[in-house]
Amino acid sequence: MNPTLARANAILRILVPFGTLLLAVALSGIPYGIPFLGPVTPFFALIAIFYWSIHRPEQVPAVVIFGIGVLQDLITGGPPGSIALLLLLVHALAVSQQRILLGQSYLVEWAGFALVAVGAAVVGWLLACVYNTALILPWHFLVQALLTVALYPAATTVLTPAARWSRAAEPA
Amino acid sequence: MRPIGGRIGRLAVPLRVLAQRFALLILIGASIALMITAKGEHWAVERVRTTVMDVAAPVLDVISRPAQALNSATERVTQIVAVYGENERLREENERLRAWQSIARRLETENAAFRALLRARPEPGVTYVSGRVIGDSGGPWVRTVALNAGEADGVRKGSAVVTGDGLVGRVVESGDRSSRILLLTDLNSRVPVVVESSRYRAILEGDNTDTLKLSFVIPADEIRVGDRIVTSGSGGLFPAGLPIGEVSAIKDGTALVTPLVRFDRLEYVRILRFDFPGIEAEQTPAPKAAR
Repeated sequence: MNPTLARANAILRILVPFGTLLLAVALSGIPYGIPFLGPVTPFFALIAIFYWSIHRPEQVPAVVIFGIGVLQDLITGGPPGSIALLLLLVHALAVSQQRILLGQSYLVEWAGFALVAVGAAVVGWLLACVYNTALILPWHFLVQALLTVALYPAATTVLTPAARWSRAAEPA
Repeated sequence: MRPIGGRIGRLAVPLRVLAQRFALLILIGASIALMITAKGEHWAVERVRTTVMDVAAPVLDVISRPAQALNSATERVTQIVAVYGENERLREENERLRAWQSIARRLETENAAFRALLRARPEPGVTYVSGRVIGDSGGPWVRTVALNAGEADGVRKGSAVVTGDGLVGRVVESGDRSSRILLLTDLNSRVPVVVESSRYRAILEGDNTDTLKLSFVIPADEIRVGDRIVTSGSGGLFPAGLPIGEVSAIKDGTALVTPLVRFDRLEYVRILRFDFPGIEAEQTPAPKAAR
């Protein structure tokens, strides 16, 4: 392969995690109009951050996660810093549990994500209550977490080949 | 040379881990600091947000279309299933509206005659621009939507946003090509309203749920289930008489209002350009003195 093309190919592969994070932010910002769920949409960035933090933590540095979180806050109209804070906490937790989760069955990974998603919903709800100095009903936070957990297998069917393709860029 | 390199390498790994942890802590602190800054509604945060939205709007516009097309298709199928019943209902409603039309025509003539007698000042004209919903709040933090229309299209901060059913909310941020609407259901939404039949004034508050609350009603015990709530026009931001909803329940002395607009089905909305004379005069800069 032409050295310039090979270099461009390698750079593209390295940027795969960042690309999926950007896509997750864009998908979280559009209206779905899911019946009975009101304004709740899946938290796609949470899935992407958890997945990459487990499988390729070196490719999602904290500064990138911070930037992605702030971008989602700005696009969705939430308080800037709120999503960034949640994503950084999830990243820290996922990286600390990486050795336990990596190499386990898919069901264990999914269960791990479910725990993290519900935990993030509880932290998000507490943050929202403190930020607004009001008691907000927690149901929408939990519904969002459950919806996100339900979509984890679908999202990982896209993320797994993306991770495999990205890994091919690494020198043997 | 090799042992030294190996030693450096062995030292570099824990140093890198330490730096990463330190960076993580700093960024967590930065997120909290950003939240506190944004709480003060800093102008710079609003400027950055509108700039980012202007850049993201074309992308959101494109990727939101398949989801909205799917929603429209689902809605259409539901409508086809219910077409017979809907036709009957519309026939009855048409008869009722014809009766109202004749009453309205008579009242319009009467009103014009009384206004001429009183030499009343005409109501300010209302024009509008239309916009498509391209972004949602994406989560339970806030109740806002983003539109693909901005200041270049005539959208102004503070303008009322409506659909054919009633009031949706108001413009809180307007970029060049996009704007953000604070929905009536948001925790920070406050709208001066009036009970249509009794003319009692109140403030309608959102609380991040699907129902709204009436507060500061005087007298509170005069509110009845089924009363229609419309904008009062106080403050000059919204035109008077925009329909909002109906009182659906009264719990612990608080009237709960069900909005007429279905917020989960918002697609196209209208942004009202309401030129209230007093406010327009305040916003217009004073002419420069002649040199």
